[in-house]
Amino acid sequence: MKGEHEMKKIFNNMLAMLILIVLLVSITLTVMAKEKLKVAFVYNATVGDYGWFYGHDKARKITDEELDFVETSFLENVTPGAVAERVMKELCKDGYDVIIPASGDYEADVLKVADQYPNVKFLICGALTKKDPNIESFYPLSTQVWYMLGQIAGKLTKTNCIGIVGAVVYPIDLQIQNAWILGAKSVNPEVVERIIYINTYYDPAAERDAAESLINAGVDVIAQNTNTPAHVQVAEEYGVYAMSMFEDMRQFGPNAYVSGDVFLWEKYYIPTLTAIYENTWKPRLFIPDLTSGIMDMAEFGPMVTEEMKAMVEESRNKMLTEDPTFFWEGPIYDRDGNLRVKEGEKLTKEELSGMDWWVDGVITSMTSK
Amino acid sequence: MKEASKELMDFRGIVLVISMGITAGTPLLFSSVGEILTEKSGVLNLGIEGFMLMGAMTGFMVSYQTGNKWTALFVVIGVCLVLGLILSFVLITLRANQIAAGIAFTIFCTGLSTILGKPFIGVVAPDIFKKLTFSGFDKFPLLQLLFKKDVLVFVAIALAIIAWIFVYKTKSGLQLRAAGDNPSALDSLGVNVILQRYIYTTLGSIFAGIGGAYLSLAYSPSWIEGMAAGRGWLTIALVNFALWNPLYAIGGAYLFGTFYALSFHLEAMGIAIPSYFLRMLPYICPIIILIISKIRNKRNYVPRYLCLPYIREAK
Amino acid sequence: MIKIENRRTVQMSTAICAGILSVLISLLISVIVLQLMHYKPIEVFSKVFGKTYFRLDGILENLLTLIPISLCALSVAVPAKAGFWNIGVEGQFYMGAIGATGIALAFPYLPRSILVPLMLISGIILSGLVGFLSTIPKIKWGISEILTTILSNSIIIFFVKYLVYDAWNDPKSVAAQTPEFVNAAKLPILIQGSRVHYGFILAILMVLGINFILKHTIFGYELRLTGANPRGAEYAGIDSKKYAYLSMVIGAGLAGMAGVLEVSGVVFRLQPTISADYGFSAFVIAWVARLSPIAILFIGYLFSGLLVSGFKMQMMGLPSSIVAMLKGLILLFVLAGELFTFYKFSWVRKNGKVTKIKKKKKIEVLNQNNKINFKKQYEGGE
Repeated sequence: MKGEHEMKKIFNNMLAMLILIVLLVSITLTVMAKEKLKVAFVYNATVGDYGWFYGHDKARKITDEELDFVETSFLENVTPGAVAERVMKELCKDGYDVIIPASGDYEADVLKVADQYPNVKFLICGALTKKDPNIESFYPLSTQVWYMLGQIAGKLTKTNCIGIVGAVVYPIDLQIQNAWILGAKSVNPEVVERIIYINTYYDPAAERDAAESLINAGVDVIAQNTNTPAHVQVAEEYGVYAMSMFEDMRQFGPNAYVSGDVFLWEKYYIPTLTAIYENTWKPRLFIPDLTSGIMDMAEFGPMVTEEMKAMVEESRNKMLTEDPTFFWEGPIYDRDGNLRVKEGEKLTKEELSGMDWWVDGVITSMTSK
Repeated sequence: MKEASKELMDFRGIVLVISMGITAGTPLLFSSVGEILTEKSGVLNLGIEGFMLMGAMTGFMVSYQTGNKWTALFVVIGVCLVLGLILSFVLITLRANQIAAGIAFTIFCTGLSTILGKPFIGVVAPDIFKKLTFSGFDKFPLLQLLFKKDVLVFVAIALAIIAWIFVYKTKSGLQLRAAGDNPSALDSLGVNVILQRYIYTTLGSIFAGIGGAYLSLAYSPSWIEGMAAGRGWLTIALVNFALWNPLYAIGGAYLFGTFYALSFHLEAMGIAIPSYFLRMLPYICPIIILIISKIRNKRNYVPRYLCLPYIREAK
Repeated sequence: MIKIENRRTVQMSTAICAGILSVLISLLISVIVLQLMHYKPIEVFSKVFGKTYFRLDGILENLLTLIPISLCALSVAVPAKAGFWNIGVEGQFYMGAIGATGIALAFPYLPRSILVPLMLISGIILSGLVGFLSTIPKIKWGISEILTTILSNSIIIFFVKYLVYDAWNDPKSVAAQTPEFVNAAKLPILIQGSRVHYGFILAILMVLGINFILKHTIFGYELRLTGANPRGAEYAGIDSKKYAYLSMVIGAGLAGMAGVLEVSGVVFRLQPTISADYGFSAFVIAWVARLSPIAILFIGYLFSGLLVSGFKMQMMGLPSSIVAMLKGLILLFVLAGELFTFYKFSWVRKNGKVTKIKKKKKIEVLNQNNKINFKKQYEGGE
C-alpha cells in the first residue's frame, strides 16, 4: 500500500511540474510574441476623390490585407497646424506605433510631436525631413514618368500647345511641369505649355473651368496636378486628349485618356512596415524613382501608336540603365531666357528639390523667384 | 517672362469667355431669381448656400442611383421643398432672427450634405445634362459656340423672364411685392401675408436647390463636399446688384460668371498677375459695381419690410 | 387658439433653459440620424465627451481652443450689439495672422518684449482696417455689411495663399508654410505640460473688459442703444455712424487678435489652414450665448470641447462632419426657441370666453370697482 501511495505521490509531483513547465513556457512565449503594429494614416482631405489621398488609402487597404501583423486606421480632413498637432499627439497617446501623415504640409506638426514620443515612428509622404530616431520622409520623384508622358504629348499635339490644370505652386508639381515640357520639346521643339492654377487641390467646378479655358487657348493635351478628374471629362467633351496624375482616370473619358502616372504606395508601405515590425528600420530620406516601382505609367489609351510606345520604351531603358535623370542635362533656359543649366552640366539633387523656376516654354501667371 | 499671349484676347477669345461666363452664371441665375422672389416677399433667406449644397448632393446621389437625371431633378425639388418649408417655419412662424437662422441653416446643410454625400465622392454619374447643339448655326461657328449649352441654361433664362412677368405684370405679383413693401395694407385686403411668405421662401429654396443640382449634374458632373464654393453668398450680392429685378438678374449672373471666366482666360494667356489676385476678381468686382450703381442711383430698391417678421397685432 | 404677445422682459433663466434644451434636442436628432445610418452614436458620444470634458489633457486642449473661439465670438457679438453683422470673422482672423507674421519675419532680431506687442498691434491694425473698409459701403451707400464682410473672407483667403505659397514661402521646406518664427516671436506656455499659452490671459482680459465696457460705461450703453433702438438712439443724439464704424472695427480687431495669438502661440508660422472654421463657429457661439461676453466664455468652452472631439469621433467611426451638422442644428434650435424667450403664450378659448379662474378674478376686481357694464363689454371682446 505504502509503495503504491508513494508512486502516486511521485507521479503527481511530476505531473504538477510538467504542467508548471508548460505554463511557464507558454507565458514566456506569449509575452515574447510581438503585438500587432498599430498604424494610423493621416489625410489632409477626404479619400474618395481619385487623387493623392485616394491612392494612399488604396495602398493602405492592400497593406492591411497583405501584412497580418499590421492594423491600420485612417483620419480624414485633418488640417495641418494646431489641429494636426493635437491629433497626432492623441494618436501617440492612444498607443499607435506608426503614424503616416500623407502630406508634406504636416512636416511642422510632426517635428513638434516626434520629440516627445521617440517610440512612435513617423513616415511623412511628400516632405524632405529625416530625423533620428523616428522621422522618415519619402518624396516621390515622378519626373521620369512625366518626361515620358511629355514625349507622347509632344507627338500627339496638333496645336503645339499642351496644358496643365495646376493646384498650388508646390515644388513637386513644378518639377513635374518642367519634366513634361522637356519631354514634349524633345520630340517637338515648338511646343508651349500653359498652366492655370486653381489654388486648391479640390474644386471640380474650377478645374473644369480651367480646363475649358486651356482648351479655348488652344491646348489639346491636358494634364492636372489637382485631386479630381474633371479635366478628363472636359477633354472628352471637347475631343482633345487628357493625361492624369495620381490615378488611372480613363473611365472619366475613354476616348480622351492617353495615360498618366499612378502611384503604388504599397510597394513602399509593405517593406517599410515590415522593417519596422522586425526592428530593422532606420529613418532615411527616401526619394524613390522609376526603379522602385512605386510610380509607374498607366496603360496607354487607344490613340498611342506603336511608334510612340517604342519611343517611350527607349527613354525608359535609358533611365533604368544609363542615367535616371538624363533630361535635366543642359542647356536649359528658363522662362525669361536665362541660362539655368549650362551645356554638359546637370542639375544636382539639391537644385532639383529646391526648384522654383519654370523651363522655357511654360506660360503661366504665377511668379517665380 | 515672355509676353503674354495677347493674341488670345481677340474677338473669338472674348466670345469664348462670355460663353463660359454664361455657364458659370447659370447656377447663380437660378438661385438669385429664387432669392429675389423670397426677398420681395419680405424674407431674407441666408440659407441659400445650404440649399445649393443639398441640391447638388441630392441631385448627384439620385442620378447615380437611378441613372435618370430628370428623376434626380424631381427629387431635388422635393427635398428642397421640405427643407424650405422647415426653414420658412423657423423664419416666419417662429420669427427667428432671419440672418442668424439662415446662417445656422447653411452650417447645418453643409454638414448634412457632407455626411450624406460621402459615398458619392469621385464616382461617375451615369446620366447628366449634356450640351445641346443647334443645327441652324452651322454657318456661324462663334454663335454655335455661344449656344452650345445644356437645356438648364435656357430653363434658367426662361425662369427669369417668367418671374419678371409674374412679379411686375400680374395681380399675384403685386401681392408678392406688397408682402414685402407694405404687409399690413395687404393684410387688410384679406390676403394672407404669412402664406405668401411661406410660398415664396419655399419657392426660392427650390430654385436655389436646382441651381445647386446644376453644379453637380451639368456644370462639373461629380460631387465633392462644399461644392457650392460660396455661390450662395454671391447670390445675395447679385440680388442687391440686380435691384431685385429678375431681368437684371440675368445680366448680373452672367456678368459675375464672365468675371470668373475672364480670370481663367487671363491666366491661360500668361498675364503677369499671380493667379491668386485674378481669382479675387469675381469677389471684388461686384462690390465695386454695386458702389458705382448706388452712387449713380440713390433710390432704394430694397423691399421695405425685408427681414422683419410680420406680426398682425404689432403696430 | 394660442395668443402670442410680446414679453416685457427677457428672463435669463428662460434663455439658459432654451439654450440647454436646444443642445439636447440637437444631440438627440444627431443620434437618431446617425443610428439610422448604422453608426453607434451613443457609445461614441459618451466616450468622446467623457475624454474631452473629464480628463485633464482634454480640459487643457479645450482651454487652448477657447482662446481663438472666445475672441472670435466677441468679434461677432460687439458689432451685433450695435446692430451690425460681422460675418467676416474668418478673413479678419487671417488678416491679424498676416500682420503678426509680417512683423515676425521682418524683425527677427528684436527682443520678445518689443516683438510680440508689435505683432499684436500690426495684426489688430490690419484686421481693424478690414472691418473699417467693410463698413464704409454701408454708411455711405447703404450696401449691407453682410455682403462686404462675406465677400472679404474669400478675398483675404486668396491673399493668404499668395503669401504662403509665393511671397513668404519657406525656402527650406516644401510644405505650404512660411518659415518658422524665431523664439522671440513665440508666446511662452502658461500651463506647463499643455499648449495653453499666455494668450489665454489676454483672451480672458478681453472678455471681462468688453463685458465691463458694454455694461458700465457710457460708450457701451450708447453702443447697445444704437443696436436695440436705433430711432431712440438718434433722438437721444447718438451718432449711429460713429458706433457703426467703432463696433465693426473693434469686432474686426478682436478677430485679428485671435489670429495673432494663434500664429504666435500655437502654430509659429502662417499656413492657409490655421483657422479650423473658427469664423462660423464663433457666429454660432455668439448667438447661443445671446451676445453676452460672460456667457460666451462658458458656451465657448463647451463648444471648444465639441470642436476638439471631432477627430476622436472620427477615430471611432463617425463621419468627420458630424460636428458641423451639430453646430448648425444647435444654433437653429436656439433661434427657433427664441420665440419662447421673447414672446409670451397664453390660452384663449376660441369663442372669446376667458377661463373660469380668470373670470372669477375679473368679477372680483370689477365688483370691487362697481363697473359691471364695462366688464361685460370686456368679456365679450376678442
